Amino acid sequence: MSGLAQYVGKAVVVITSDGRLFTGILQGYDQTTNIILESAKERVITPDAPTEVLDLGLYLLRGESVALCGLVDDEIDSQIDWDKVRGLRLGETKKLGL
Amino acid sequence: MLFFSFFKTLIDEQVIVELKNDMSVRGTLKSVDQFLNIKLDDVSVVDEVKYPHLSAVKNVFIRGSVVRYVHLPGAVVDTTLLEDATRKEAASQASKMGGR
Repeated sequence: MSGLAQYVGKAVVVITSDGRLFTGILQGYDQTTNIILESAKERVITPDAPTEVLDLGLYLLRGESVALCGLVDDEIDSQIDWDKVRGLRLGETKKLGL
Repeated sequence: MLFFSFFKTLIDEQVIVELKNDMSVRGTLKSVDQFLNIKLDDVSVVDEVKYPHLSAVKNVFIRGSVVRYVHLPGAVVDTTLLEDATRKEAASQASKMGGR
């Protein structure tokens, strides 16, 4: 059975359906993929500017808006200078009108 | 339930999941559930230069509702078995609907 049980209490990266990226500690979830993140931060990655970080604190993300939840590997994460990372803006999962 | 069972036979195979936001993630299929949510281990994003967002991530959980395609290795799929299962499922759906 798939599930987020193994990720609880660990650092995760959540990509939302509107193309935003959040990181935090997974505190809880349910079968509709509603997610609770502690110490949540939004990382805004763009092609041409330093990565912006927004501190959000305790966050609840509605399952409908969750696209992907990834388990952070702390070793690799500590070696990345997120400030220098450049990338495309993530797309949205729902195209307009569809 | 058919595709849930189908995906269960593909556990431990390498697949590429193409999401509706146009990102594609390659990884080993480790788990699937009734919503066709997918867990992949040892992931790598196809086109990491464009999408460095998951550089620190090795395992992912992908919500079934955002999957556009799951690209599979053709050799692993028994199409005869799949066709049979589909016909059985279609027959059982028809008889369920016919009861009304």
